Amino acid sequence: MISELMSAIFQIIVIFALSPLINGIIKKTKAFFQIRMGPSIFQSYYDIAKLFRKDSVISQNVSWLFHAAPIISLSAVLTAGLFIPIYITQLPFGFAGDLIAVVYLFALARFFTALAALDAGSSFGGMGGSREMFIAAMVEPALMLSIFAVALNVGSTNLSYISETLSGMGLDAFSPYQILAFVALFIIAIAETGRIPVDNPSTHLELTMIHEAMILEYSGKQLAIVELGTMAKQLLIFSLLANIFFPWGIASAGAGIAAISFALVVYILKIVIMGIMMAAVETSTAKWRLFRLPDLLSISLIFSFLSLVSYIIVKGG
Amino acid sequence: MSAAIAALLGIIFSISVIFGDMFSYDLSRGSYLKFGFFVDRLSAFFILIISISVFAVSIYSTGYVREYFGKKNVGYLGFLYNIFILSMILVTSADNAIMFLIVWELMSVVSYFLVVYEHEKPETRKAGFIYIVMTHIGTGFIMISFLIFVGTSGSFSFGTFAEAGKTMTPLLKDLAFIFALIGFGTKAGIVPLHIWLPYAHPEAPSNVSALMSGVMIKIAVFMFIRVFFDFLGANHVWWGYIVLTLGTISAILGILYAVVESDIKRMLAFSSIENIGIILIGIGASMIFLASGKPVLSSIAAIAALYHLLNHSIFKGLLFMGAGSILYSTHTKNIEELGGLIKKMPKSAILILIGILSICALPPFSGFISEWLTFQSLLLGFNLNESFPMIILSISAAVLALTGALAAFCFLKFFGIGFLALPRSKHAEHAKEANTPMLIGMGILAALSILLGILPFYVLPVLERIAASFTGNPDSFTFGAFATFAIPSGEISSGMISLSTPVIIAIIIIFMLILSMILFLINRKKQPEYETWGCGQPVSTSRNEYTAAAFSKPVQVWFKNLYRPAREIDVTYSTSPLIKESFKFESRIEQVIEQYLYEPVVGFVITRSRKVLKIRTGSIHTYLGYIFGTLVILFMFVIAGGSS
Repeated sequence: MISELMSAIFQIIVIFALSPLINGIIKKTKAFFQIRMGPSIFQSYYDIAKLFRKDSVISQNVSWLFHAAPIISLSAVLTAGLFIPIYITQLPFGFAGDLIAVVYLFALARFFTALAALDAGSSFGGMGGSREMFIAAMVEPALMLSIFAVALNVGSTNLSYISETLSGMGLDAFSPYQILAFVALFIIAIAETGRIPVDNPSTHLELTMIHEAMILEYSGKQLAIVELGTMAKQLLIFSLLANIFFPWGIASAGAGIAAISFALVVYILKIVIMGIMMAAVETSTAKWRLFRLPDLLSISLIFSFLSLVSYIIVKGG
Repeated sequence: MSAAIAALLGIIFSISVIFGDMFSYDLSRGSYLKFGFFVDRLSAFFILIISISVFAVSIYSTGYVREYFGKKNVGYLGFLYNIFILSMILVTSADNAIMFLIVWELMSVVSYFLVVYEHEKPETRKAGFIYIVMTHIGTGFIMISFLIFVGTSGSFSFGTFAEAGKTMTPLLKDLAFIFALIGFGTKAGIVPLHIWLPYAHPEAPSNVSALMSGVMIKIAVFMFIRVFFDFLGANHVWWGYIVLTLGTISAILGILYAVVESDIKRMLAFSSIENIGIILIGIGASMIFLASGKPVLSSIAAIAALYHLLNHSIFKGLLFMGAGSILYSTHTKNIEELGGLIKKMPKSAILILIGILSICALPPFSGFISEWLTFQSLLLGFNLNESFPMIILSISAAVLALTGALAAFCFLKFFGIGFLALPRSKHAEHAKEANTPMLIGMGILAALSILLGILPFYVLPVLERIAASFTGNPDSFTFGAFATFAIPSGEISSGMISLSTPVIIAIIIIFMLILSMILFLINRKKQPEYETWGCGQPVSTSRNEYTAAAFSKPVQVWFKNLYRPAREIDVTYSTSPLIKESFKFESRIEQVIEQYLYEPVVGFVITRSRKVLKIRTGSIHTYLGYIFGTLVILFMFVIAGGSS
């Protein structure tokens, strides 16, 4: 019991420790592609530390929801973090939630962020909330079909079980339906982490921002919590992709300290690669118009559907 | 108030039947007309649902009818309300077709009178008319379906219908299925038979809409299960496909119309169509699995449907009561005129937020469990090992996912625009908190929404027993430590699929406590307050807020082929063309089904009936001639029938 609790706490610490780093690496890679120096990869840590020392300026119009929303959102994301294998397949609370629960916990976080966006009564908040929920609605069908494709391959939606089975499969885990599902989920990850071409995380131009518009009224300590939540969610989505599609190197149940440290190194490597890929996509495409996004997400839907169909063709029917 | 006490008795009675055996009581033993009651586990479950909702809504009503004091006859409302509840209970417990049709008709007619309670408004009368026409078309189909059974069994008793279902020819079974589907589907409000629902539910007094949406449309689902599983044995796979497809279409179309609606009660009515769709997805999947010889899967899907049915009756009742409270204190149902209610009606706001979190299926509230179960049952459909059902089930799951996300969009708009930020009109500015009975009524259902979300391991064993009564499989889930329930590995899945909402809520609360503690510790001094950022301009008026129409605009653009939005801009100029005197903007969406499916039919019927008018001459001699002619033809029938 104690060791399980320790393992859960350690996993949360890893998530907190790594999520600003990945953000920094993405920024640095983007700067590299744009032939700039860019900020240090540790800049996100400094930003969070700075925000925690600042006061929050709070709008006069807000209700209790505005204060509660960042806390609820970050808690929901961290709870999802306990159901996603990071460096070890054995999760102390893995029995309590599966892949579908993770999707809905992210939805809970998004719901409260968007509600808080409307609380201050500014048009930006409304615009951001509306667009964020719109994109979420487009993502959802493709996401559910990809989950189906992955879950079918293994026979369960339990994430520990999925990565345990897949990492035991060796190179067999690299099947055609897995590749198709990966493409679908990669597009979804772009949308869910709010990156170009869906959203631009570095914009503050009023008409183009989506996520930034939602959190425009937050400042100081509350903003720090919101930012942590966003970065943790990004890390968790990368971890999902890494451990479902490239499960090799993850520590299995009952691994010793040495195996866990090795798995941790492999894990960091995997998500750094994932971050660099994301940065490459961001620099090589331009942001799309909001109403062209259904096209992009239909591509994802088609890939996930093809993945299911190819599973049916390969496995019988 | 007496209704509330009776409802308590109803709850006790139905729980005793669910755990005990069946109950039946014969009123009379005449040779032609038998009146009797028959309550098995399935009907007891529905009586339980009716009783819970009625209990809460009756308490709420004692506060809500204060609105009508001195204006309307409240006694008349109370009389109809009680008859309505009685008729719903009788429908679920009738034991023969004649009695069923009589009480079904009673339920329809009484609910019609409840819909037109505020009959001085023309739109209420129109809603009532559409409702009474649609419901009678439905009853007509139900009669045909029942007569098919009677033709085989030779008796009106429901007990013999199940026997008849086994001996009927496949063609007759298919016909009975289709007529029952159309007949009860009209009451359930499945697309394309839903058109009365968004008119009738919003026009009724809110406490009645809570019962109509929360309970009455579920009774049609009860009859679906009765007819399809108990009477017909659900052994044709394509029936399941039809129910699943209709459920999927209802879910997505219902929520798409709800998203762009700005009248809160109409929005809730459209969302009822969506939720009936989700329930039918579960029932359709259950029928497919049962017909394919997978009773374990079938009972999981049926449990998902029953769980959602229970949840929906509770959170939809809660939300309609919430809409009633808004109407009571602001006298408007238009979201665009609300705003800022979270500060004016803080208690109602929290209760409504709980309902919204449940209906959006966010963990750990009640809707999450049933949607999780529905997704799992669709996913496990891959055990069928045939490509056609696999593809159908996965498309249905994708549409269900889209529906869920749009529901979140829709209710975020409702709460965000209606309750947050600044009041958008005088109505909202002068809003007062709802009165105590109303809060208690809503509070009961809100508490149940939370309990059904975090305590599924108490509810599921009960639902297992009920589902077993028509799918024949008693054990679907295993229950483990930490209140976990799981779909066992082995027969239908290779790895364990488990969920424990108490653990999820516990973890979330622990994180929230830690984070608030940290914030509290580092936030020693009072934080400065300032105006909302508006690019340097002072924007603290409600005119600068985002509107509900703007909020749902992206979805409207995305599905413009469905909505076919039309807009009208009307500008009046004063003397100079540069100075606009008044500006009127109107934007409408089309109800595609009403326009392209119903209007041609209605037009056809009207032109034909004009032609029939010609035989009405007004002369008594002609009429006597008609009567004589009819008698002659009838005699010929009797003679022909006797000779054969």
